[in-house]
Amino acid sequence: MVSDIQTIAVIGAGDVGREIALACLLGGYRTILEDISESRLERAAAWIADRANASAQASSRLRTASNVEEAVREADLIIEAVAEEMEMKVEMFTIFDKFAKPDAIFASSSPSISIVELAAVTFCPGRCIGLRFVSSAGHADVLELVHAPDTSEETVGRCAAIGRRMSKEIVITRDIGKRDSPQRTQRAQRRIGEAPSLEGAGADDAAEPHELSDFSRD
Amino acid sequence: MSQRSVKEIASRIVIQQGDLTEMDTDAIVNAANNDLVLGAGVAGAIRRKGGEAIQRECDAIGSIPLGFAAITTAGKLKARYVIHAASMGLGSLTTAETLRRSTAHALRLAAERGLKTIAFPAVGTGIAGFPMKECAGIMLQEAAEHLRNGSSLETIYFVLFDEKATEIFERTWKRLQA
Repeated sequence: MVSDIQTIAVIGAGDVGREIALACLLGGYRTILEDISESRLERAAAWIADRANASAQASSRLRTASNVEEAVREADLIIEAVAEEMEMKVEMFTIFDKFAKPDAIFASSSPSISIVELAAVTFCPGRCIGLRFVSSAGHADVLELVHAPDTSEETVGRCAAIGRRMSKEIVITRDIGKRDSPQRTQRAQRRIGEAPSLEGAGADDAAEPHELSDFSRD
Repeated sequence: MSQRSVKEIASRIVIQQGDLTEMDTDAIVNAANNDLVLGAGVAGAIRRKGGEAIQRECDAIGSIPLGFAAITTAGKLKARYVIHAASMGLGSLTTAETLRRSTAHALRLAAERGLKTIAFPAVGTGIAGFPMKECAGIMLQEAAEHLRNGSSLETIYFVLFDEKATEIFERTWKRLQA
């Protein structure tokens, strides 16, 4: 039995990273925000403090780090939000693989890069997943869990649990791992209202994509 | 490399986000093709801001081999010289090899003239389609190598046009120093 997620490391403090860090803090998680640039880190921390001001406690859970190894060491979940380029993300996942705790989950927030390819550079594809934080005006905030073929149901379940604690609507999509084609994200999608039963997520494997096309967005 | 020299070299390489054509360094580097025709991207911006004199000087030089660099004055730019690093041809894309060699040659040309400061863009990552991370690795390695061997250059700037490129250069540089 793995422990609950308590500490989340967010790698990259740009626009995406700081949003994710804020969601983690408001969800009650200890959050370590990493960036190589001190000024970007300072700007992000100020931005977060500004928005979390209703909850001084949330801000107090934030720590910053100036290198990836240090940031990931104690984290149960690591979410990368670095510059959107394959080689950058690969480097990050390689570092996570070396320095993270043995049961830590590695997540990419990338909207376009294949989790399958990132998972392939690690020794633990079962613990690799995509986590996309989607907010759009007028709709509930969504946490999209991008499920690669090797992503374990336990990983999906643990990530769904953090989404619920952040009061996000949870959507599971599948990454079938074909790169550089518009069809790459032919993902079977399904929305789940409440707790995703791990059994249900497994049954998804057998589902035909057309049954789920109501929810596909590409 | 000893710790001291790593530190010393690290302090002489500066990565920043900004507009290359506004740099008042001794030289700025143009992401050139080997026919030295200033068209799109960085080259176009240099031509627009620097004036036609730069293109005329390039025309007088003519074509140079791929992987080489050529130096001209900088027209109306704040910099004194433009060094044209030819990592691509008009019909061929940048490769790791042409990027490495043209970067090294650009640095040599600057050092031969005793220049103290030079500013590079991310050569080859525009229309030439070279990946940013690999570009950062190659250019930073060449810059560090050049400084290690001794040079008139005191500071080598990498001036990137957006946050993404800046982050990639910063992270790559940190890894290279480790």
